[in-house]
Amino acid sequence: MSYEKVPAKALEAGARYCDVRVEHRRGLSLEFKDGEPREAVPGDERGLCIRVLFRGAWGLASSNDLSRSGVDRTFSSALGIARAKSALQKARDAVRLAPVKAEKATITWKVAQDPSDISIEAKSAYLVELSREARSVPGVRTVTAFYADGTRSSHFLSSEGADLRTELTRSLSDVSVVVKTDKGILGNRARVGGTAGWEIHEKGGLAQKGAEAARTALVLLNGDRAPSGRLPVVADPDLAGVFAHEAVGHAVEGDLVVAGDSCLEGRLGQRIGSSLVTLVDDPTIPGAFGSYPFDDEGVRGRRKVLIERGVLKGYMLDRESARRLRSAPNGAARAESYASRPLVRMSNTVIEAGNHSHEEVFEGIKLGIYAKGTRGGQVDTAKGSFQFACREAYLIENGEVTRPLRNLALSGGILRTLREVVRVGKDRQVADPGYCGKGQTVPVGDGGPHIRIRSVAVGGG
Amino acid sequence: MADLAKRPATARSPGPSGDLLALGEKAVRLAQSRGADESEAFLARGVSMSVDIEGGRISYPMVSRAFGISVRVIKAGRLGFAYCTHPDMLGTTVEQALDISRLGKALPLHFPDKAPLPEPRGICDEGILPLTPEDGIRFSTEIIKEARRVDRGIQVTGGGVDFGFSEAGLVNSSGVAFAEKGTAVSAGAFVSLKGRATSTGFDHSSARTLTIDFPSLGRNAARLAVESKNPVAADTGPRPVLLTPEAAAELLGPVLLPALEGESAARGESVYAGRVGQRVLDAGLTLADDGLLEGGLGTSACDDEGVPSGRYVLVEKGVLKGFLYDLYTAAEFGAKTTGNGARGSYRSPPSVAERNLVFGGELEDRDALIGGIDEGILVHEVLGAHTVNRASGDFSVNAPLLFRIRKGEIGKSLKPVMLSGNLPKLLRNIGLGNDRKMLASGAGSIVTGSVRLDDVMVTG
Repeated sequence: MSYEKVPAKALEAGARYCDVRVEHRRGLSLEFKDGEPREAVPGDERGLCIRVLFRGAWGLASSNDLSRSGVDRTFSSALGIARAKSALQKARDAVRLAPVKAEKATITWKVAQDPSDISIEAKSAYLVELSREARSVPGVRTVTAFYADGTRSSHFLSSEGADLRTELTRSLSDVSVVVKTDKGILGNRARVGGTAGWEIHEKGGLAQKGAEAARTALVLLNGDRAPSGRLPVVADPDLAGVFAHEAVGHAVEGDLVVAGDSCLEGRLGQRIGSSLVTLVDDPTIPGAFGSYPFDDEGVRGRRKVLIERGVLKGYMLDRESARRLRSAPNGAARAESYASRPLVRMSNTVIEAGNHSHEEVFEGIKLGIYAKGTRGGQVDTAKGSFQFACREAYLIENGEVTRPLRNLALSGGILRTLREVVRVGKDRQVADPGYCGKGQTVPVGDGGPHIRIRSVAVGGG
Repeated sequence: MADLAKRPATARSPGPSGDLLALGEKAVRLAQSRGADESEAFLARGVSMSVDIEGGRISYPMVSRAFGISVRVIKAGRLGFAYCTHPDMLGTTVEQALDISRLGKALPLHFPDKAPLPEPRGICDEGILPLTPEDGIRFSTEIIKEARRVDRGIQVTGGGVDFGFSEAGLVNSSGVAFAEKGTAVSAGAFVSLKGRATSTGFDHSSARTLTIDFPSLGRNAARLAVESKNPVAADTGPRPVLLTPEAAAELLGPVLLPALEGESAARGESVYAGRVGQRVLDAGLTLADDGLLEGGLGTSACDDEGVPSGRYVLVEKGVLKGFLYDLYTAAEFGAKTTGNGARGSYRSPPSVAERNLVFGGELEDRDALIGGIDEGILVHEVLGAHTVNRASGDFSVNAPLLFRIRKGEIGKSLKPVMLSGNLPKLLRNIGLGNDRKMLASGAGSIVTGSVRLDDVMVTG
């Protein structure tokens, strides 16, 4: 059968609910090493995912066979699994979905310059330019320049009547440098990206940022060994964003809260952090990398205030976790592709601006750390602990940023750190592009202002 | 169709490999006729089933079917790549690969000739083929039950069971025409236990055959959470640290693997660049990448470019012997491929990856390793190992699940600490346990026992 008929067919077969997600993704990725082409991968793929809820049990099936017989088989699998599971599961484990409006819409997020209109030669020339600029910095050993664009068209249909056609395009470019001197070897990177087209590369200034990243790496190589112990830390907007995402955002994912895997379970309405902290997740920020019009359950994406002046205001929810937590879904269900189930995910996670000037954020720190960006991080949401490796770090002495430090990492408790945010700057920057992994990988953004934390455990390599 | 719906999907083979090879041959003929000097088709077909556990419940059973063809061409030494998911698209895909080859860097690149292939063992278990989603649900239920039997307060927060069947085909214009079937199964249990502070535990296992003891995963995870209740603060200072096989693979993998890539060595980015013939690891340690390890997650008759598999010794008794290459990096840096061209899927061209990286050499009894530590810690889990500075090997990671070792015995559970140091330095003197375990890594595996590192900076 054609996929449009699947939801009705599922109801006929006794299912309580069914949705179908058909996706078409196409794009191009290019990688240049030291100005020479390394890999070019064009992509073009279609597939579908069918979810069936039968007597309180989910059954899912995905396939990239969109022929009528392929759709039949995928539907049979999903229904068969749901039936099998319903026979084996206890009544108290039955899944129920919080109600949502059945949306009907066709939305195309237009970009100024469609990447598919730009020749592969122009894209290559851009990467050569990024490489040349970074390589002009003495001490640079290798430069990897990466470009990717992708357009996702999807058609979502549900047995409740939802019918959504959406199309959006994302673009990203990235320069990563390795510098080497007699002091050692160090990597650094710079990136631009967004829910946008070719224009983002033209106005992104990445060539300069890449060269700047190389110069910074050279400065850091001459840095001192990082101290170990608990010290005051000023995080730049980049790192503040990562903190918002990693340390706080994951812990308010509704599925983790329901699963007993979050230190913020049962804390709604309670003060969990300093009154200076307001934190939101917002897929409606125009052009940000993690933005989307509807989630993968057909629920409209919306700004979610998660922490307001230190008080936990809400979780990120899909329809199932919303029902279990007696709340309303807020459009946070995302799937990596047609081959994946929707999971509760972040979009653009941001700490809102405060009232402190740049000087006030730093003033009065006798000995501390100014940490910028990260090379990655990880969080244990159940215990509420996190770890980040900073991309850049500097010593603060008597309120002044003094010497560079090598290889600094921060780790600590989510709740303690939230309580110890003592200054929040006015200088909020939104949405550094990145990818978040939670079994599946999705594009996200994060951001924030400069923030000061009274004390964090820091360590050096 | 109604009949089909009553019968749950199974992982039964979707058909013989003959049709895969025929399609591959068609792709190669097409590419040659359109002007490729050499061409290659990689075909993949698979069915996988997954059953997730969330919050003590089985949440999402899912079956996924995938089929894909990727085409590579060489024209004037330049490589082009493209893929599709339907045989009807083959013509367009071949054109796309040829078109994109214009961008390639001209290299002395050739696809391998037909060669006799070894027979890999233990990679396809007929017992996995008839498994149904009900079996996955049953295995997951066993994990949950067994965990809760250890302590009623245990919540299985995550984990589940995955199993599947896959079939890969490779055809090239030099006569390679190869197809192989394989199976895989993996399972995990992640648990938490609420108390004064929440404690956690986990266990996971991956195999090519149905050899996983599902109940024991739940039991081990739960015991770990019970034992790690009420942790006390750790002291700060340099200490010997014993990493469990899981923690060892988590910490060592992200440092060692990139450092052992031929490309990073040739570009001077590897800490081991220019050090072939020198001692770089503990003199008792031998590191081999074995594409034929029986039942290995990365085991196959050949790599994903048709190069016959073998056992490749990277470090022998601590002395560096060489680096890992695929066809492309070998051509670029004047080396020979080591059979390490791996494809994550039909969507991406091959890149260098480990097959089964085996830590061997002088193995010690795990108890003897612990017995030899007067004052140290036992670490079950590290967070943030992907943030290690690959260029230098400097690391600073969080250890959330750990115990004190005092006078050769495992003692109290400790609160999370930060571990830091320089791995290349630390790896020059280690102890390796005989409790070896195969752990999933990239497209293959890391096989390691417990690893003792001396003088790790522990920040409590």
